[in-house]
Amino acid sequence: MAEKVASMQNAAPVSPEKFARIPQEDKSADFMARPKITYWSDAWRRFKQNKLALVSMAILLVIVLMVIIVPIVSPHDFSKGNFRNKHAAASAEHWFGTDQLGRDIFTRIFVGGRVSIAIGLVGALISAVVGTIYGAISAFAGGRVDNLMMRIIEILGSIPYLLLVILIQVYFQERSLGTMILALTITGWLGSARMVRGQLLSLKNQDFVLAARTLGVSSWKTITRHLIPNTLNIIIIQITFDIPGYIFSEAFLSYLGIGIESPMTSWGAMASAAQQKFLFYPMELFYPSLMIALTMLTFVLMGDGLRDALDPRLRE
Amino acid sequence: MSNMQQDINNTQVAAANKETKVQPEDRKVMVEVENLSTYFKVGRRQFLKAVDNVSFKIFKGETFGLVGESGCGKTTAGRTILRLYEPTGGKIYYDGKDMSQVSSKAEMKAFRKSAQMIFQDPYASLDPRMTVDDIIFEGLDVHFPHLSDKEKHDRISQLLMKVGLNSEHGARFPHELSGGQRQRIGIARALAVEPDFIVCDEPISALDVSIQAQIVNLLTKLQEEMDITYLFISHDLSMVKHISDRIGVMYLGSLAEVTTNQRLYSKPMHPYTQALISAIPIPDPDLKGSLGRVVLEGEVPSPINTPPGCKFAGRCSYCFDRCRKETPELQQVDEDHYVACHLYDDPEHLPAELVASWRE
Repeated sequence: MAEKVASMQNAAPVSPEKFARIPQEDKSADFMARPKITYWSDAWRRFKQNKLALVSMAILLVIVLMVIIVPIVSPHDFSKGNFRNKHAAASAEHWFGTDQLGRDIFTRIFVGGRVSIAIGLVGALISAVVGTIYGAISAFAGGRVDNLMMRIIEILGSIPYLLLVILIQVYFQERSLGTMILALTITGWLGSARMVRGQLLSLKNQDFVLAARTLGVSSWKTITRHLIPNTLNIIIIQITFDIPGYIFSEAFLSYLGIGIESPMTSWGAMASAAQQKFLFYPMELFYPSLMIALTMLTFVLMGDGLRDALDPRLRE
Repeated sequence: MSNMQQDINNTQVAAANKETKVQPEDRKVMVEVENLSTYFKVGRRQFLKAVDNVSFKIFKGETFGLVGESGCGKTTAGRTILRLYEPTGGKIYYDGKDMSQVSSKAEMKAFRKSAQMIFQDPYASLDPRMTVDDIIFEGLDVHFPHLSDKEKHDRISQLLMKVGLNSEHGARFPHELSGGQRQRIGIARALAVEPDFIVCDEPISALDVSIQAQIVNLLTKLQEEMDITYLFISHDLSMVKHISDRIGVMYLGSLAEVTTNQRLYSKPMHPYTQALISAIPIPDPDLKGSLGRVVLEGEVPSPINTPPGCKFAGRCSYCFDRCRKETPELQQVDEDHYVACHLYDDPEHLPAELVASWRE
């Protein structure tokens, strides 16, 4: 090795004539082999790679389908009991047995699922819409208006929501799906408003938004072409994480007895009723609890997969 | 890549032209900045003076280099000239017209068509949710609404070819392209509206060295072809030397020195410029030892509530009493050579070692 280096140093310098330019006419190297893909198909491709998220989505689809179909096709009425058949064990007629009033638990699980999932979906949607609009106004107005709007959020956030729920129920004199959604969303949008505001504030100063301004693109077109599409993924992710939050809040309120009113039921209300005789009939508590846990877990896992799939920074 | 050979040839031609390209007598002023200031409010009564009383001229067809260390206000100056930031004070004359006060939509639109910008970060400057076609289309859509969609797409293909890509790249998303390719897209976007003046805000600092050369050569080639005036903002002194006709040196929001390319490197007058020039790495180890290195002590002071006097006084080895009391104005000391330094008011203060370093 040392000899080689020495001989290289002793060798005469290479004359410039020895170098020749190689023509490079072939432009085919510039073509890319990968097929063209849009943002959404790319996101879907990455979502599919996350098996856990994919399985979660499949389970959720099954739950949603069952919630829609089972109450329709079930031979049992969810509200009519049979006093001679209370607390029955699982059988061919009553797959999950019956409850303390002799009502079919299998049917009731999916009727209650309607309420739970409806509150989750509608609540998350409302808070996303309200939060997005509020956050966007706050981010664009800036200065004093922004400051005031953020303080309002902090004040609303400091009110204990249990108190709000009770006040709303007292005011409307009923405990229905509508009042539940109202009670939960009245402070539920605060988180998404903060997130949208933060995202828009950071987007507002991005170079590509500045480039649009330099080109003379109008503010309206900048918002619809650049800001909204770049905030959409955050909103979608926020919705998928909000849904299990609402489902749990509803279950929690129903469990405390300030949720949905009988004979209508939900998973939380069923768990609440079942826990009174939990030591004798544990399965009655098991079914609604399982549904709450399964739905929340699958939503969270799917949201996780969505976040990874939609975030362009995590692209490989 | 096959454009590279052509690029190199073009640059050689450009370099040869550069000496004689613009004659001092028949130079037309493209952009003139007069006492421009941009302050940002940072507290109740505190202001960050990002750009403080800056004046310079950019002549038509030339490349004006603006250099300085990070945070000295070069980018803010560039953006204020394009009215992306509102100037706190001073005037911006563009093609003879005062743009600092214009607020009418039509006039602003004409200005937006004529003056463009190339951004530093090729990742942040392209919308990740848009295809390359859509990105370039945006400018055409605003300024050439009379063109049919087909004509616009033909133009996009031509622009992509012009910056060394091909129309096949149009359907791509930015994340599918490399840093150099993305910067070419940024250039194509700026060129789409057929501008006369482009602010290049550190267009190469985020790129790999080999790609830097390609992009600089591309910019030079486009300048030759389309007669574009550049304001080239950079902290890379050797690159600025390569591309610029005239250079302004900024320190903490103010101009320290403005002069031609040759003069700045052979006769740096401001002590700060001198320190900067001595810090350029020299790729020849034999020569390296022979040239002195001026090492600056201390840190750049905060641009918030700067004390009176010369902003460089705290770090300047030639500083005397007056420098701490009175802010030096940019004044002409030689043909095409402006310096903001008290040393040149009084020959007696002029240190011999500073004069000795000039290589005229």
